[in-house]
Amino acid sequence: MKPKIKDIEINLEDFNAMIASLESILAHRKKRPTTKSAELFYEHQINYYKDIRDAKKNGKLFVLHSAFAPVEILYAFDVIPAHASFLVGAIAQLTKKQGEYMDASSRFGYPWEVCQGHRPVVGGALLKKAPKPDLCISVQIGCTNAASSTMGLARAYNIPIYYLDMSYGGKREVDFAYYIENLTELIKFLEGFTGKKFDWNRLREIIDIERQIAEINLEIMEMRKVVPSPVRHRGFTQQYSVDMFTPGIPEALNFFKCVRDEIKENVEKRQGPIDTPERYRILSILMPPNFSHKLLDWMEEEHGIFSVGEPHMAYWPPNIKLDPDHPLESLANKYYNRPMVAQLICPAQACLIPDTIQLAKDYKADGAIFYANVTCHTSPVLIRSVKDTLLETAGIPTLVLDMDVADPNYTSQEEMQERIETFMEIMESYKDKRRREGKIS
Amino acid sequence: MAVAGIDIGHRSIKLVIVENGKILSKKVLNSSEETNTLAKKILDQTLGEIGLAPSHLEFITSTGGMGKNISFTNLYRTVAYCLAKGVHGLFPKARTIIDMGGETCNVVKLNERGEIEDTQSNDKCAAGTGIFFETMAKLLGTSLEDMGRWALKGDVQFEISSMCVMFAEQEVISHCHENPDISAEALSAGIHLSIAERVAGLAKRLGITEEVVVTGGVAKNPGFVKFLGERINALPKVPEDPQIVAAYGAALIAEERKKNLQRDRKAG
Repeated sequence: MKPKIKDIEINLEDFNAMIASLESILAHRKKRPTTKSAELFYEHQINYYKDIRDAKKNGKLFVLHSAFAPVEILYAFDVIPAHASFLVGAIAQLTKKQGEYMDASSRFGYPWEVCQGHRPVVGGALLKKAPKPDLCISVQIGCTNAASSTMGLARAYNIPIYYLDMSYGGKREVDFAYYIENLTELIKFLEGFTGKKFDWNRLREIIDIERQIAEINLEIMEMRKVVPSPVRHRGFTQQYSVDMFTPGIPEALNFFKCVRDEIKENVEKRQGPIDTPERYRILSILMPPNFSHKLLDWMEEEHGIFSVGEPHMAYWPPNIKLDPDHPLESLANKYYNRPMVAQLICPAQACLIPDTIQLAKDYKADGAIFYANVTCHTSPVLIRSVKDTLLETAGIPTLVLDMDVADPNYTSQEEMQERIETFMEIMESYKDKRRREGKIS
Repeated sequence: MAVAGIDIGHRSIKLVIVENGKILSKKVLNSSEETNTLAKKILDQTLGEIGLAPSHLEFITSTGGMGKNISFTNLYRTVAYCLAKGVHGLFPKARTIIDMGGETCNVVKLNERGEIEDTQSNDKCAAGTGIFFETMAKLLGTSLEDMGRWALKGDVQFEISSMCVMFAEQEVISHCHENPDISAEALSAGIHLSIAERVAGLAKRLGITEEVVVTGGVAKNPGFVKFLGERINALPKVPEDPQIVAAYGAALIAEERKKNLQRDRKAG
């Protein structure tokens, strides 16, 4: 007879194997250095996971949360936060047990149609592959898969779940006020749950670090306008991870300072980050497949395709105001304006599309790749409007790359490469057209 | 000096040898797993048939799903690019290509210069591909050619709602059970219409602009081309040998490269 979920014991073998795998990547990086920021990134990752693993030993509470939770509040409570799909997805990915976790998830009733970015969360939780959290926080937002997976996770671990609601509508005063009220309620709940008084000064310090990170990001964005692109393609996935999962901590600030300095050096020397000369500048829309970041390297190294802007991810809109004296207002401002959240809580015409068009023009993009995760329930509706608007307004083509963000069985790296090679021909013909029209030299 | 284009698909190898824009020889053969060896063998054989030595070939371009694995070619280009070249060479006014091979279906939109504007493909299921028709022909106990001819004569009495080849097979069988008197022509027409509907949907995602050219092995099926034309509201053109168009395009690319090489040599 199969054991009941509650009887399955926590097994951290995979978790430790993931940390060991990251340590070996870091050791390799140090032996064959690329950039200092890449080393910092892996050090940062290792510390993140070790803090999670050792939370109990260090007498700290451990809270798993869905995407876009206000992690700053958790840090201010001195609890250890972990992004559920990032954490369990990384265990599955780095130990190559994606299939095992997916199967477990299916047995629990989460079919293939549930986003593969979130399905391993439930599978990993059912198999008890991560330390037991004390609490789960689920942000109620357009991403139904995130909400559904955190619910499954809370059931698997038999832990309480707190729902934090974000209103749909846009960046209106009424939305900010509603969110601030909900954050206040969350703080009250956490005071009761942790038995601690909330440390407002700590939150102000965190917001101040975030303010500095935001300023650095604006500097980075300005420098990225330079030709050739001074940044490596996969850099944005690293920046996004650090920024979204560990906001407002000193290590994050150090990482961004390091990234900024490296970019500055390349800009001053007017050089790209690798030897391959830049041929195409692209916008990367949504998340590239996490099973194959080598695809990004291949685009750069083989074909000189560089990502110059990521309207959903690394992009920091210049209007985000972070003021340590108004910490909750700052959080509302940040979470309602960061594009990854904004696309889920306000119409695309009000945020994503104008941002994308502006980036295409400012960064002289030759094309865009829309990473269309087939099991995502929200982003595919944007495809047509983003593609058409980019063509009509900025005159650039978009490749809609159908893929599964976590499962290479749907579209393999080779298939994606084939489509990208065809897309290069398309970008070339549009570049020729713009040349003939005198729009580019 | 001649050049060659080789299109190595999942189910067949297509070869075209060209000299000064003129096709010297073309060949289509079913492929096996050993594509590299087989492609080389076909190339040598074909050259022999037209009295050319392998050294007479100055440039070879490969394309197709398996075309990257070929060791003896000079260049690899994507199927969409080679199709664009080939179709533009044959039909300069073409703006939409619908290519249906053994296992994939591609739609390519061209501009007036024959450059690719956009593409759309279905490589996830058998609908709109040669293998779907082969399975259906087997089910009806006939050849592909006859099934296509029957479709032209039959009245459409049903449409297949399942595009998965496995379920579609069962659905056709169910129609036979429900209506034992249904003719092979009507069955064939229903099958063809359903696939045409599916492929038209794919093409419409890019927008249909005439002229429309249908290529690939499935284009040899007149029944399908007729139903497709009705569904996209256009009169599709079919090349004389629709299977070799990508290989022909690859050979045209090889010619361009050959000329560039000659020019570079002259320039020193």
